[in-house]
Amino acid sequence: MSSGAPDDYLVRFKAGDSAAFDELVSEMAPRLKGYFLRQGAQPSTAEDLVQNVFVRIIQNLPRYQPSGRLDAFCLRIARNLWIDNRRRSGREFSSEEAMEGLDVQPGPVDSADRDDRAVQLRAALGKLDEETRELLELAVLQQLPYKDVSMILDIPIGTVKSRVYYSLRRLRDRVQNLNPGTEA
Amino acid sequence: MNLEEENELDLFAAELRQAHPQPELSDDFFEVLQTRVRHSWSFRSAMQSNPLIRVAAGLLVMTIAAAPVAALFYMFGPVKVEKPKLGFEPRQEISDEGWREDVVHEKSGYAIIGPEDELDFDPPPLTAAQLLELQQASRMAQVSQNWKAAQRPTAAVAEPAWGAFLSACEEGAFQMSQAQRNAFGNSKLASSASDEASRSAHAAWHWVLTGESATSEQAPLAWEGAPFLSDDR
Repeated sequence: MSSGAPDDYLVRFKAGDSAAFDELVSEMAPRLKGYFLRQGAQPSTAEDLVQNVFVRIIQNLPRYQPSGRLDAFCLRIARNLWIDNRRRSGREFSSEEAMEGLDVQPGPVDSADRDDRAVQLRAALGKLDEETRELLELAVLQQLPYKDVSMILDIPIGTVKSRVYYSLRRLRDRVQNLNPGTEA
Repeated sequence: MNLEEENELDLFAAELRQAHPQPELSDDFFEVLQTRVRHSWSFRSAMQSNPLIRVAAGLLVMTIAAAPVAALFYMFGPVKVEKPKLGFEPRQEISDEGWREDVVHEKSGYAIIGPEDELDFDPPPLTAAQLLELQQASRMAQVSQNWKAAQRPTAAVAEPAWGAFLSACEEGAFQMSQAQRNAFGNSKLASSASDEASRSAHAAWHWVLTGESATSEQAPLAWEGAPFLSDDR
Protein backbone atom coordinates (compact mmCIF):
# COMPACT_ATOMS: atom_id res chain seq x y z
CA MET A 1 0.00 0.00 0.00
CA SER A 2 1.55 3.24 -1.10
CA SER A 3 0.57 6.74 -0.15
CA GLY A 4 0.64 9.95 -2.09
CA ALA A 5 -0.33 8.06 -5.20
CA PRO A 6 -3.61 8.71 -6.98
CA ASP A 7 -4.99 5.49 -5.49
CA ASP A 8 -4.34 6.66 -1.91
CA TYR A 9 -7.49 5.66 -0.06
CA LEU A 10 -7.59 8.76 2.10
CA VAL A 11 -6.93 11.08 -0.84
CA ARG A 12 -9.82 9.48 -2.66
CA PHE A 13 -11.98 9.66 0.47
CA LYS A 14 -11.25 13.36 0.92
CA ALA A 15 -12.13 13.86 -2.72
CA GLY A 16 -15.59 12.40 -2.03
CA ASP A 17 -15.11 8.70 -2.79
CA SER A 18 -16.86 7.12 0.20
CA ALA A 19 -16.00 3.59 -0.99
CA ALA A 20 -12.31 4.34 -0.52
CA PHE A 21 -12.68 4.36 3.23
CA ASP A 22 -14.42 0.96 3.15
CA GLU A 23 -11.56 -0.41 1.07
CA LEU A 24 -9.06 0.98 3.55
CA VAL A 25 -10.89 -0.64 6.45
CA SER A 26 -11.16 -3.96 4.65
CA GLU A 27 -7.46 -3.99 3.94
CA MET A 28 -6.06 -2.59 7.15
CA ALA A 29 -8.45 -3.75 9.89
CA PRO A 30 -7.23 -7.42 9.96
CA ARG A 31 -3.62 -6.31 9.92
CA LEU A 32 -4.21 -3.86 12.75
CA LYS A 33 -6.11 -6.42 14.78
CA GLY A 34 -3.21 -8.86 14.37
CA TYR A 35 -0.82 -6.15 15.49
CA PHE A 36 -2.81 -5.49 18.68
CA LEU A 37 -3.26 -9.17 19.41
CA ARG A 38 0.42 -9.87 19.06
CA GLN A 39 1.18 -6.92 21.33
CA GLY A 40 -0.90 -8.58 24.04
CA ALA A 41 -4.39 -7.10 23.64
CA GLN A 42 -7.52 -9.17 24.24
CA PRO A 43 -9.59 -9.84 21.10
CA SER A 44 -12.41 -7.47 22.14
CA THR A 45 -9.92 -4.81 23.10
CA ALA A 46 -8.05 -5.33 19.86
CA GLU A 47 -11.13 -4.68 17.75
CA ASP A 48 -12.00 -1.67 19.85
CA LEU A 49 -8.52 -0.30 19.31
CA VAL A 50 -8.74 -0.98 15.57
CA GLN A 51 -11.94 1.04 15.43
CA ASN A 52 -10.25 3.81 17.38
CA VAL A 53 -7.54 3.91 14.74
CA PHE A 54 -10.08 4.57 11.99
CA VAL A 55 -12.01 7.09 14.09
CA ARG A 56 -8.80 9.00 14.70
CA ILE A 57 -8.01 8.87 10.99
CA ILE A 58 -11.41 10.39 10.23
CA GLN A 59 -10.96 13.09 12.85
CA ASN A 60 -7.55 14.03 11.49
CA LEU A 61 -8.62 13.76 7.89
CA PRO A 62 -8.68 17.57 7.27
CA ARG A 63 -5.00 17.74 8.23
CA TYR A 64 -3.99 14.61 6.30
CA GLN A 65 -1.16 15.21 3.88
CA PRO A 66 -0.15 12.13 1.85
CA SER A 67 3.46 11.33 2.61
CA GLY A 68 4.91 7.88 2.90
CA ARG A 69 2.99 4.65 3.02
CA LEU A 70 -0.59 4.64 4.23
CA ASP A 71 -0.16 1.35 6.12
CA ALA A 72 2.79 2.85 7.98
CA PHE A 73 0.59 5.84 8.78
CA CYS A 74 -2.10 3.54 10.18
CA LEU A 75 0.38 1.45 12.13
CA ARG A 76 1.91 4.56 13.66
CA ILE A 77 -1.53 5.60 14.92
CA ALA A 78 -2.10 2.04 16.15
CA ARG A 79 1.17 2.08 18.06
CA ASN A 80 0.32 5.39 19.74
CA LEU A 81 -3.11 4.08 20.71
CA TRP A 82 -1.57 0.94 22.12
CA ILE A 83 0.87 2.97 24.21
CA ASP A 84 -2.00 5.13 25.49
CA ASN A 85 -4.01 2.03 26.29
CA ARG A 86 -1.14 0.56 28.29
CA ARG A 87 -0.71 3.80 30.20
CA ARG A 88 -4.40 3.87 31.06
CA SER A 89 -4.40 0.26 32.20
CA GLY A 90 -1.23 0.97 34.16
CA ARG A 91 0.42 -2.34 33.57
CA GLU A 92 2.78 -4.07 31.20
CA PHE A 93 1.55 -6.93 29.05
CA SER A 94 3.61 -10.06 29.41
CA SER A 95 4.63 -12.41 26.68
CA GLU A 96 2.16 -14.97 27.98
CA GLU A 97 -0.70 -12.57 27.45
CA ALA A 98 0.51 -11.97 23.95
CA MET A 99 0.56 -15.69 23.45
CA GLU A 100 -2.98 -16.01 24.76
CA GLY A 101 -4.18 -13.44 22.28
CA LEU A 102 -2.50 -15.30 19.47
CA ASP A 103 -3.89 -18.63 20.56
CA VAL A 104 -7.40 -17.33 20.31
CA GLN A 105 -6.96 -16.74 16.62
CA PRO A 106 -5.03 -19.76 15.33
CA GLY A 107 -3.88 -19.70 11.74
CA PRO A 108 -5.55 -21.89 9.10
CA VAL A 109 -3.01 -24.62 8.75
CA ASP A 110 -3.68 -27.83 6.97
CA SER A 111 -1.39 -30.39 8.35
CA ALA A 112 -0.55 -31.26 11.93
CA ASP A 113 3.15 -30.76 11.27
CA ARG A 114 2.65 -27.30 9.95
CA ASP A 115 0.32 -26.58 12.82
CA ASP A 116 2.96 -27.63 15.28
CA ARG A 117 5.55 -25.55 13.45
CA ALA A 118 3.31 -22.48 13.45
CA VAL A 119 2.60 -22.87 17.15
CA GLN A 120 6.28 -23.12 17.84
CA LEU A 121 6.98 -20.01 15.80
CA ARG A 122 4.26 -18.06 17.55
CA ALA A 123 5.49 -19.26 20.91
CA ALA A 124 9.03 -18.31 20.07
CA LEU A 125 7.94 -14.86 18.94
CA GLY A 126 5.86 -14.38 22.06
CA LYS A 127 8.84 -15.15 24.27
CA LEU A 128 10.88 -12.36 22.79
CA ASP A 129 11.22 -9.14 24.67
CA GLU A 130 8.74 -6.40 23.88
CA GLU A 131 11.03 -4.22 21.79
CA THR A 132 12.24 -7.10 19.64
CA ARG A 133 8.74 -8.41 19.21
CA GLU A 134 7.53 -5.00 18.06
CA LEU A 135 10.48 -4.67 15.70
CA LEU A 136 9.79 -8.02 14.05
CA GLU A 137 6.10 -7.22 13.97
CA LEU A 138 6.63 -4.10 11.92
CA ALA A 139 9.55 -5.18 9.77
CA VAL A 140 8.71 -8.86 9.16
CA LEU A 141 5.03 -9.50 9.76
CA GLN A 142 3.71 -6.11 8.54
CA GLN A 143 6.49 -5.92 5.94
CA LEU A 144 7.10 -2.23 6.38
CA PRO A 145 10.26 -0.81 4.79
CA TYR A 146 13.15 -0.29 7.16
CA LYS A 147 12.81 3.49 6.70
CA ASP A 148 9.21 3.48 7.99
CA VAL A 149 10.11 1.16 10.86
CA SER A 150 12.93 3.51 11.72
CA MET A 151 10.52 6.46 11.81
CA ILE A 152 7.85 4.64 13.83
CA LEU A 153 10.25 3.30 16.45
CA ASP A 154 12.41 6.43 16.30
CA ILE A 155 15.70 4.56 15.91
CA PRO A 156 18.31 4.80 13.15
CA ILE A 157 17.65 2.78 10.02
CA GLY A 158 20.97 0.95 10.34
CA THR A 159 20.01 -0.11 13.83
CA VAL A 160 16.72 -1.39 12.47
CA LYS A 161 18.51 -3.51 9.84
CA SER A 162 20.98 -5.03 12.24
CA ARG A 163 18.39 -5.64 14.94
CA VAL A 164 16.04 -7.34 12.47
CA TYR A 165 18.84 -9.54 11.20
CA TYR A 166 20.05 -10.64 14.63
CA SER A 167 16.54 -11.03 15.97
CA LEU A 168 15.51 -13.28 13.09
CA ARG A 169 18.66 -15.35 13.43
CA ARG A 170 18.20 -15.71 17.16
CA LEU A 171 14.53 -16.63 16.72
CA ARG A 172 15.41 -19.15 14.02
CA ASP A 173 18.07 -20.73 16.20
CA ARG A 174 15.64 -20.89 19.09
CA VAL A 175 13.03 -22.69 16.98
CA GLN A 176 15.70 -25.06 15.59
CA ASN A 177 16.77 -25.90 19.08
CA LEU A 178 13.20 -26.91 19.84
CA ASN A 179 13.28 -29.29 16.83
CA PRO A 180 16.90 -30.37 16.34
CA GLY A 181 16.03 -32.74 13.48
CA THR A 182 14.32 -30.21 11.27
CA GLU A 183 15.65 -27.29 9.23
CA ALA A 184 13.96 -24.15 8.34
CA MET B 1 25.95 -11.74 6.63
CA ASN B 2 26.42 -13.86 3.55
CA LEU B 3 23.93 -14.38 0.79
CA GLU B 4 23.06 -17.91 1.81
CA GLU B 5 22.24 -16.92 5.34
CA GLU B 6 20.28 -13.96 4.09
CA ASN B 7 18.16 -16.23 1.95
CA GLU B 8 17.63 -18.54 4.91
CA LEU B 9 16.46 -15.65 6.99
CA ASP B 10 14.14 -14.53 4.22
CA LEU B 11 12.62 -17.99 4.15
CA PHE B 12 12.34 -17.98 7.90
CA ALA B 13 10.63 -14.59 7.80
CA ALA B 14 8.15 -15.88 5.24
CA GLU B 15 7.48 -18.89 7.44
CA LEU B 16 7.00 -16.58 10.37
CA ARG B 17 4.46 -14.55 8.45
CA GLN B 18 2.70 -17.70 7.42
CA ALA B 19 2.49 -18.74 11.04
CA HIS B 20 0.77 -15.47 11.87
CA PRO B 21 -2.21 -15.26 9.60
CA GLN B 22 -4.39 -12.18 9.73
CA PRO B 23 -7.15 -12.65 12.28
CA GLU B 24 -10.77 -12.46 11.29
CA LEU B 25 -12.94 -9.58 12.29
CA SER B 26 -16.14 -9.95 14.21
CA ASP B 27 -19.40 -9.85 12.28
CA ASP B 28 -20.54 -6.48 13.58
CA PHE B 29 -17.15 -4.85 13.22
CA PHE B 30 -18.05 -2.69 10.21
CA GLU B 31 -21.45 -1.81 11.61
CA VAL B 32 -19.98 -0.65 14.91
CA LEU B 33 -17.24 1.20 13.10
CA GLN B 34 -19.70 3.07 10.90
CA THR B 35 -21.71 4.09 13.96
CA ARG B 36 -18.62 5.33 15.77
CA VAL B 37 -17.33 7.20 12.75
CA ARG B 38 -20.73 8.80 12.17
CA HIS B 39 -20.97 10.01 15.76
CA SER B 40 -17.37 10.80 16.19
CA TRP B 41 -16.83 14.35 17.19
CA SER B 42 -13.74 15.72 18.69
CA PHE B 43 -13.10 19.16 19.99
CA ARG B 44 -9.82 19.19 18.13
CA SER B 45 -11.33 18.40 14.74
CA ALA B 46 -14.14 20.87 15.33
CA MET B 47 -11.61 23.55 16.20
CA GLN B 48 -9.69 22.79 13.05
CA SER B 49 -12.68 22.77 10.75
CA ASN B 50 -14.80 25.63 12.10
CA PRO B 51 -13.28 29.09 12.67
CA LEU B 52 -16.36 30.21 14.62
CA ILE B 53 -15.74 27.51 17.18
CA ARG B 54 -12.15 28.69 17.47
CA VAL B 55 -13.31 32.24 18.13
CA ALA B 56 -15.90 31.07 20.66
CA ALA B 57 -13.36 28.89 22.42
CA GLY B 58 -10.92 31.76 22.56
CA LEU B 59 -13.52 34.05 24.11
CA LEU B 60 -14.45 31.35 26.59
CA VAL B 61 -10.85 30.85 27.65
CA MET B 62 -10.31 34.59 27.99
CA THR B 63 -13.44 34.95 30.07
CA ILE B 64 -12.48 32.08 32.34
CA ALA B 65 -8.95 33.33 32.74
CA ALA B 66 -9.95 36.94 33.32
CA ALA B 67 -11.12 36.49 36.91
CA PRO B 68 -7.99 34.77 38.34
CA VAL B 69 -5.70 37.03 36.33
CA ALA B 70 -7.49 40.09 37.65
CA ALA B 71 -7.26 38.69 41.17
CA LEU B 72 -3.52 38.14 40.79
CA PHE B 73 -3.05 41.66 39.47
CA TYR B 74 -5.05 42.95 42.40
CA MET B 75 -2.92 41.04 44.88
CA PHE B 76 0.53 41.47 43.35
CA GLY B 77 0.06 44.35 40.99
CA PRO B 78 1.39 47.87 41.46
CA VAL B 79 -0.04 49.82 44.36
CA LYS B 80 -2.52 52.38 43.29
CA VAL B 81 -1.83 55.93 44.35
CA GLU B 82 -4.88 57.62 45.74
CA LYS B 83 -5.36 60.76 43.75
CA PRO B 84 -7.09 63.62 45.54
CA LYS B 85 -10.49 64.42 44.22
CA LEU B 86 -10.70 67.70 42.48
CA GLY B 87 -13.99 69.46 42.98
CA PHE B 88 -15.99 71.86 45.05
CA GLU B 89 -18.13 70.79 47.93
CA PRO B 90 -20.10 73.58 49.60
CA ARG B 91 -20.27 73.59 53.36
CA GLN B 92 -23.41 72.19 54.76
CA GLU B 93 -23.66 74.87 57.45
CA ILE B 94 -22.08 78.22 58.04
CA SER B 95 -19.92 78.46 61.07
CA ASP B 96 -21.25 81.37 63.13
CA GLU B 97 -18.64 81.14 65.81
CA GLY B 98 -17.74 84.60 67.01
CA TRP B 99 -20.31 86.24 64.80
CA ARG B 100 -23.40 88.05 65.90
CA GLU B 101 -25.69 89.55 63.41
CA ASP B 102 -26.56 93.21 63.86
CA VAL B 103 -24.21 93.73 66.74
CA VAL B 104 -24.81 97.11 68.26
CA HIS B 105 -21.75 98.92 69.43
CA GLU B 106 -22.51 99.59 73.01
CA LYS B 107 -20.30 102.61 73.24
CA SER B 108 -21.36 104.45 70.14
CA GLY B 109 -24.89 103.19 69.97
CA TYR B 110 -24.59 102.75 66.20
CA ALA B 111 -25.12 99.50 64.42
CA ILE B 112 -22.01 98.08 62.89
CA ILE B 113 -22.40 98.40 59.21
CA GLY B 114 -21.83 95.41 57.05
CA PRO B 115 -19.60 95.27 54.06
CA GLU B 116 -22.58 95.88 51.84
CA ASP B 117 -23.17 99.18 53.54
CA GLU B 118 -19.64 100.42 53.45
CA LEU B 119 -19.03 103.95 52.45
CA ASP B 120 -18.35 104.79 48.94
CA PHE B 121 -14.67 105.56 48.98
CA ASP B 122 -14.72 106.87 45.53
CA PRO B 123 -17.29 109.62 45.67
CA PRO B 124 -17.75 112.03 42.82
CA PRO B 125 -15.58 115.16 43.13
CA LEU B 126 -17.10 118.03 45.01
CA THR B 127 -18.17 121.07 43.19
CA ALA B 128 -16.81 124.48 44.16
CA ALA B 129 -20.04 125.38 45.93
CA GLN B 130 -20.02 122.09 47.84
CA LEU B 131 -16.40 122.59 48.75
CA LEU B 132 -17.07 126.07 50.02
CA GLU B 133 -20.05 124.87 51.98
CA LEU B 134 -17.99 122.10 53.50
CA GLN B 135 -15.20 124.48 54.46
CA GLN B 136 -17.67 126.85 56.00
CA ALA B 137 -19.29 124.05 57.97
CA SER B 138 -15.90 122.92 59.15
CA ARG B 139 -14.93 126.39 60.27
CA MET B 140 -18.29 126.78 61.93
CA ALA B 141 -17.72 123.60 63.88
CA GLN B 142 -14.30 124.80 64.87
CA VAL B 143 -15.69 128.13 65.99
CA SER B 144 -18.30 126.34 68.03
CA GLN B 145 -15.74 124.09 69.63
CA ASN B 146 -13.41 126.95 70.44
CA TRP B 147 -16.18 129.06 71.74
CA LYS B 148 -17.36 126.32 74.08
CA ALA B 149 -13.84 125.82 75.29
CA ALA B 150 -13.52 129.51 75.96
CA GLN B 151 -16.75 129.44 77.88
CA ARG B 152 -15.75 126.39 79.93
CA PRO B 153 -15.84 128.05 83.31
CA THR B 154 -19.38 128.91 82.61
CA ALA B 155 -20.22 125.55 81.02
CA ALA B 156 -23.44 125.40 82.91
CA VAL B 157 -24.76 128.27 80.88
CA ALA B 158 -22.93 127.29 77.69
CA GLU B 159 -25.91 126.37 75.68
CA PRO B 160 -27.90 129.58 76.31
CA ALA B 161 -24.74 131.60 75.73
CA TRP B 162 -24.10 129.73 72.51
CA GLY B 163 -27.59 130.56 71.39
CA ALA B 164 -26.98 134.24 72.09
CA PHE B 165 -23.70 133.97 70.25
CA LEU B 166 -25.40 132.47 67.20
CA SER B 167 -27.99 135.19 67.29
CA ALA B 168 -25.26 137.74 67.36
CA CYS B 169 -23.57 135.92 64.50
CA GLU B 170 -26.68 136.03 62.46
CA GLU B 171 -27.04 139.68 63.07
CA GLY B 172 -23.40 140.26 62.29
CA ALA B 173 -23.69 138.23 59.17
CA PHE B 174 -26.65 140.20 58.08
CA GLN B 175 -24.77 143.40 58.63
CA MET B 176 -21.74 142.06 56.82
CA SER B 177 -23.73 140.96 53.88
CA GLN B 178 -25.33 144.33 53.83
CA ALA B 179 -21.97 145.96 53.83
CA GLN B 180 -20.77 143.73 51.03
CA ARG B 181 -23.77 144.55 49.03
CA ASN B 182 -22.77 148.16 49.48
CA ALA B 183 -19.72 147.23 47.39
CA PHE B 184 -16.88 148.38 49.34
CA GLY B 185 -14.57 145.63 50.47
CA ASN B 186 -12.44 147.88 52.65
CA SER B 187 -15.19 149.96 54.12
CA LYS B 188 -15.88 149.75 57.70
CA LEU B 189 -18.78 147.66 58.63
CA ALA B 190 -21.53 149.64 60.00
CA SER B 191 -22.36 148.01 63.15
CA SER B 192 -24.84 148.75 65.70
CA ALA B 193 -23.29 146.17 67.98
CA SER B 194 -21.71 147.76 70.77
CA ASP B 195 -20.70 145.03 73.04
CA GLU B 196 -17.75 142.73 72.89
CA ALA B 197 -19.80 139.63 72.08
CA SER B 198 -21.25 141.19 69.02
CA ARG B 199 -17.86 142.15 67.71
CA SER B 200 -16.45 138.74 68.34
CA ALA B 201 -19.41 137.12 66.71
CA HIS B 202 -19.05 139.41 63.77
CA ALA B 203 -15.41 138.51 63.34
CA ALA B 204 -16.10 134.87 63.82
CA TRP B 205 -18.79 134.89 61.26
CA HIS B 206 -16.52 136.62 58.80
CA TRP B 207 -13.95 133.91 59.32
CA VAL B 208 -16.50 131.22 58.97
CA LEU B 209 -17.75 132.58 55.69
CA THR B 210 -14.45 133.52 54.08
CA GLY B 211 -11.80 131.68 56.01
CA GLU B 212 -9.89 134.90 56.39
CA SER B 213 -9.06 136.61 59.63
CA ALA B 214 -10.67 139.96 59.73
CA THR B 215 -8.26 142.86 59.89
CA SER B 216 -8.91 145.95 61.85
CA GLU B 217 -9.95 147.63 58.63
CA GLN B 218 -12.26 144.86 57.62
CA ALA B 219 -13.54 144.26 61.08
CA PRO B 220 -13.12 147.35 63.16
CA LEU B 221 -14.64 145.52 66.01
CA ALA B 222 -11.23 143.86 66.46
CA TRP B 223 -10.21 140.33 67.32
CA GLU B 224 -9.15 140.65 70.75
CA GLY B 225 -12.53 139.69 71.98
CA ALA B 226 -12.71 136.62 69.86
CA PRO B 227 -9.89 134.37 70.94
CA PHE B 228 -11.85 131.33 69.91
CA LEU B 229 -11.09 132.09 66.26
CA SER B 230 -7.47 131.08 66.64
CA ASP B 231 -6.39 127.62 65.52
CA ASP B 232 -3.54 127.68 67.92
CA ARG B 233 -5.71 127.29 70.93
